[in-house]
Amino acid sequence: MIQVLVNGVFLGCLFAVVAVGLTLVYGVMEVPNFAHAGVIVLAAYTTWSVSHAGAPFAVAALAGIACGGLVSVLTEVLAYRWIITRPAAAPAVALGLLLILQNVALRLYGGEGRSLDTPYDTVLLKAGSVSLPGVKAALIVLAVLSLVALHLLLSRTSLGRAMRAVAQDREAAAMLGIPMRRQYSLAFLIAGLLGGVAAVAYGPTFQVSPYMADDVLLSAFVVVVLGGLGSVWGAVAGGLVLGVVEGLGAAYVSAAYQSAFGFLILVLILVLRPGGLRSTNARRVA
Amino acid sequence: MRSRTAAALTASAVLISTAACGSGGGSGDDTTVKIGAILSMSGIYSTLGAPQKKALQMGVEDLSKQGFTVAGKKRTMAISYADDKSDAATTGVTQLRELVQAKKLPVIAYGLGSDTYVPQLKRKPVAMLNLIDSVYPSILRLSPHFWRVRGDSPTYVPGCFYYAKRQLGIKSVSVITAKGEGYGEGLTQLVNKFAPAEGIKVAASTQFPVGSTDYSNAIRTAVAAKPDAVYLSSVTAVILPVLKQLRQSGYTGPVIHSAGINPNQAKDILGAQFNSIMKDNYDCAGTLPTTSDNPAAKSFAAAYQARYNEYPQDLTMWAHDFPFIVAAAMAKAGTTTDSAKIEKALAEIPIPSGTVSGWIAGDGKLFTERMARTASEVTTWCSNKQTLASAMTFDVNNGTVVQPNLKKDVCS
Amino acid sequence: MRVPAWTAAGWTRHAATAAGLTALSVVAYLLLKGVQGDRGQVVLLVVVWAIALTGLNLITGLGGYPSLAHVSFFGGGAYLSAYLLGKGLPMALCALLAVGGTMLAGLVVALVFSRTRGQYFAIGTMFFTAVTNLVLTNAADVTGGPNGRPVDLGFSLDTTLVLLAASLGLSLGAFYALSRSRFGDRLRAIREDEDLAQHVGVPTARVMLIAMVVSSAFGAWAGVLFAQYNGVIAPSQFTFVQGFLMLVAIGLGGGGRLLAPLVGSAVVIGFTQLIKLGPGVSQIVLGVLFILVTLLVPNGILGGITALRRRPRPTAPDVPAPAPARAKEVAS
Repeated sequence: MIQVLVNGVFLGCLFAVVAVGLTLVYGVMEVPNFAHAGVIVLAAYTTWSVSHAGAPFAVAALAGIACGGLVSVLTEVLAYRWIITRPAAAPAVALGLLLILQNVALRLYGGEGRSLDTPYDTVLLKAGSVSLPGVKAALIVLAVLSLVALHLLLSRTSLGRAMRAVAQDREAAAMLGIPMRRQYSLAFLIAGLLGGVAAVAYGPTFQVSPYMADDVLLSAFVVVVLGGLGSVWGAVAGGLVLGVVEGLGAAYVSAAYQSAFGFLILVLILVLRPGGLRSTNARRVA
Repeated sequence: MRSRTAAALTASAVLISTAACGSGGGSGDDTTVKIGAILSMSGIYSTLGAPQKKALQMGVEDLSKQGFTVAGKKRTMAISYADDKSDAATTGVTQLRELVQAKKLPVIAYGLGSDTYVPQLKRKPVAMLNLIDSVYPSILRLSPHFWRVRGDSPTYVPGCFYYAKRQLGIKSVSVITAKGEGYGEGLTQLVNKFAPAEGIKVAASTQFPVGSTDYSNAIRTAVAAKPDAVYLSSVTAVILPVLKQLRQSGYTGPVIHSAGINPNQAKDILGAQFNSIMKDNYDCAGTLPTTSDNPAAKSFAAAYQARYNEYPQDLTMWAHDFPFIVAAAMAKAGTTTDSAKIEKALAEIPIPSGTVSGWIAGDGKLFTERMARTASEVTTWCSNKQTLASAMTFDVNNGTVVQPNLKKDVCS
Repeated sequence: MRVPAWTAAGWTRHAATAAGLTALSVVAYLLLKGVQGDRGQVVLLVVVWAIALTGLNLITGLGGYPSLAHVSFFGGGAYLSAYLLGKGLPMALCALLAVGGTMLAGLVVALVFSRTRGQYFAIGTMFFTAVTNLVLTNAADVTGGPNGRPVDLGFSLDTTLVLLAASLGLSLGAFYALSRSRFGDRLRAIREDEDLAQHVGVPTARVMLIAMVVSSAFGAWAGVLFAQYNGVIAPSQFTFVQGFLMLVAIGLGGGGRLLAPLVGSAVVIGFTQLIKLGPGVSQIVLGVLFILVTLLVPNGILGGITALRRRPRPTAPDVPAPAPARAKEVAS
């Protein structure tokens, strides 16, 4: 039972890191960023190719995280920026970007799964009957570190305060003279870096492939809806809840339908509260 | 009104022009015999299809050197290759229609997805020779037009446990199965049948959905039963990631499977730690050309390795022999185009000369009930050499291991 | 742009459309019959998709809701008919039950999601398709698992071809009639401004619900015919990427326009099946094209063509009226 919960926490941390990236972007720009999965994939492949070329894992990981940030900002500059006045077109553009990014990965690296090696591959943490492979422990540590860093950024810096202002009320923030474009790029940069962290952290347990992030992305969207679109701490809490639910479902009902348990939660929320569980700001979702 | 009619006409034109794109047409050269091959050259099973194509090309070249005669005319062979992208139901069946209905080829070699081809075979029958699918229950029951150029799982799974009991002293085994993957599910059925026959208890049997990436639940239950060995049921690309997580979870005992993993694949899929992960691995499947005692197979293996710089799997030698088998059947049938007559001849041909696989004839004929087979083998991983070595060769008769040949000093 | 239905001009226009669609069916039949192999597959897929997408054109094209669930209805028809055929039921009954069963599923999906809007609707329907695919992949006893299942042949090949060709014309005809009805006007009103539509009395949730159920019928019937032609079905034919490509097809064709399904499928299928640019490249091109069309030509290829033809004569009498002005008339 404790083992299952530990697995749930592992999944939850993964979902939280991905979901925070999604919700941040949603908060400032109202875009359901399906392309985030593509960002994660490209970050993972970058890590793989740098590490495959012989660089130490830490260097490869940093390269992957940087690549995540770069690609994410590129999606904003090249595509999302142009539909800021037409939110109805956002899902279509996001899906188009996902199609492009995943197939770029397919084109560059082929469809076969790649294995990402880490220095902590063979580490196994044990406490009584509960065991946790090093790669999973590393993910939990990385997730906590990056979320704490994000928290400090949002609460302690003027940059973070500006971003929160934009998320709360875009028009008012613009009137106060906050440079909107920079905020958009910054949100995508942070989301991309977090996507990179997710890729580096869970690539080694799973295989690196063009479709590695599909399931995670769907679960992350459930987390975002669960926590309220636009809410960072809602995403963290929602991530842990969903991780534990999926972990329990996989262990006691059926592993094959792991992500279906997330869907059940989503349906429940939408039936009970079509507007999401927690509305974080007055803006209507349309 | 006019604009709408015009739009309808434009739409029709679009429909016609998309249909007319691409190029068709066959060659008028009647000394070149054309046959087809649908292989998984990309996607998850590309570890099978890509080497098959290479071996088929070598087979066609070797056949041209030897030459063959049908209806008094000397012929050469050419194969139209099609990629099913590891998705027989979507891409493979389209390719089959292309090869059979548009190109009118009389014989098709193929890999996976037998059941998906059955409805199309009912509409347009053609001889289809399978080069790899040893799944249990046999594909041959699905259609009378299916033939198999290799032995099936029941001809090698019993050897796993014969060896495991005598050489490894194993009394219990846990099985981890890729659910939804036919080969793996068939293997598990056979393990449940043949392990107890050797007095080995199945301690736990767990599953993970094929396509999933986190196997921790299946691994945990399998290892918790404290088995002497773990058997992994599925193909190479599916079980290697499981093997990696199994070792990461701390399991150090023997691992048995029937996936035909070769050193290149181990390195590609497992990464830098492949040598330690592959330790204490036992693979029971068809004989490998590299470890074979048969000189023809050995020299083929050497030629393949020299040419492509990769380890030749068991399926390469079967693929190499495929053009020879078709040529022999065509020669006997006296036709290069009539699929029904060629099929009839397949049932009657002896082992064709020029083949390298070491076929085991039944009653002097290559095919027994539409199956041709070679000997089977248990191989093990040698960490000191970072490669495979033969530990035992054998044949199976009615579920019992016969002619076992245990090797000594396997890894030295 | 809208011609009153009960005038002589209206009838002439309806007759011309009917004649055009009949001609389209005949052309489709000749192509399905005459073209073999790879290119035959392209013709088949274009026709099948056009039938299925006519349904999507209602909900996404007219209603403006990006549904990613449509491919599940397509798969639902295919799998249900295959399963029932396997149980030995006669083909006509199987087809009927498959379409009916899928509409029932459509109703359930609609009940859950018709009250959600925009982003939530896209996320929800995408998740629905992902879970449907999960079931198709894992419930191997019924669905044959990830490698798919063969389909018993209930219709002869020729019957299937006739049905495909006829369904193409009839589906488009049905869309033509629906889009001209009050129901079509209500959907358009929702697309233009849902709050306003609701405010003036359009029962928006109910209209969306009906649109979703009707659209699922088109998808299911296309699925039945596809399964009969192909002889085998697999989860990989009904993934959320396919569902998204369906959306791309409608967007490229020009959402809400009669021939958008046909033009859109021809472009999407043509790109993915005919142009061999190596793995992934055709999809990259499609993605770029789709984004460009979304950004630059929101009305798609057909809308773009219409706009180009209008440009030289800006005083053309049939410039569409601004939508909000119509809101009142559709509410009653």
